[in-house]
Amino acid sequence: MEPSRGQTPTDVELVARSLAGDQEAFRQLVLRFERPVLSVISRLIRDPATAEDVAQETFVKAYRHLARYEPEHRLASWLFKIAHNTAIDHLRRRRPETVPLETPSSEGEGNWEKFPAPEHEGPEAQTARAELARAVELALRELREQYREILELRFQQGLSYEEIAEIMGLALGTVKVQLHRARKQLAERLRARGFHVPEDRG
Amino acid sequence: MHDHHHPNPDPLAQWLEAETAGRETEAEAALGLIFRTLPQPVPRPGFADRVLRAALVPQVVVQVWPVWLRAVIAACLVLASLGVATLPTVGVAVGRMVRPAEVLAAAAGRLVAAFDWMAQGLAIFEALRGMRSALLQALGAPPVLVALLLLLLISVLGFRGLVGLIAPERSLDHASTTG
Repeated sequence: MEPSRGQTPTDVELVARSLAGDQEAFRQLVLRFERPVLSVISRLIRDPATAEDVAQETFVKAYRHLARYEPEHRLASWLFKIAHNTAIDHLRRRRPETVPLETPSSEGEGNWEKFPAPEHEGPEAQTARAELARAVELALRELREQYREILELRFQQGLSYEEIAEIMGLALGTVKVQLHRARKQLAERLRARGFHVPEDRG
Repeated sequence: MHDHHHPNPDPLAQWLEAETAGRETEAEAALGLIFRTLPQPVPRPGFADRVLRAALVPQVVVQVWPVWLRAVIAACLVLASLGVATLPTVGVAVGRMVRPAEVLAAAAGRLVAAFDWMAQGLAIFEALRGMRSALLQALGAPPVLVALLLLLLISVLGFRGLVGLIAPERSLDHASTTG
């Protein structure tokens, strides 16, 4: 999430330029954060088209309230919080949402990026990686929304407990407890799918 | 590595093993590795342009209180604060004017007036009892009862509609100061 050094402008620079009326700067910000923001929202809203609408609404809100962003904080956290609130608002207005558990989005619904395969990875390893991701995705889908989101923020977006607490409006202790429970439940779901630790190692 | 045949079980087995053994730090690190292999959703092409187009649509600003109303409220607040400032002076002046005998006489007068009022209240109560009987009789008639239930239903639906209309979106304020 951190901007790269060198020629690439930092998030704060892009925010400053956007505030000065540079639309291209804000466009760059959107391009920089569209995937992580959509990823967080997709943990709460499974329908890809709806998730994208909510992501668009998130960025529009961010654009209109950009002056409220405090540069000492990470822009990603600020965007995730707006995304969280916008998605929760949407869920409150539109419940219930029904999507079959056994149809992961990576199989036909919406656009998903290719697996970030390292260079020189063979086809077998890529297949294995894809299968692992599929198993985890399916297990994740069986968890409740809050657990899916907290796991996403912690492990895919790499946020700290404090940042997660701020984004989700929870106490720090609650975040730790929820994260622990979410991990345990994910492990249980994977075990139920036939993944076990061998007894000689466990 | 585990009893389920899987082409690349290592990261998952590593995590599950750490999780089972209660090695928190190791479990977190291993799960982090697994999550980093998960694909992220990609918005449809032109997403950023659509965002910009939507963001540049002029907003309709809904002003809750008009300027004149805010001016009146401000004037009232100023007057109220001036009033509070003069309270001690007024209090002392009133204290000098009041005599205990007069206060007692006034209190007794109020007490008598209160009893008179209660006596009148009893008469009103009798009238209300009559109205209650008439209402109960009317409610006994099915058309009246149905009409009342319909009105109740309409009120509940109307109230729900109003709540839906006025329920504000979650404020951006608490999204603006996040770290």
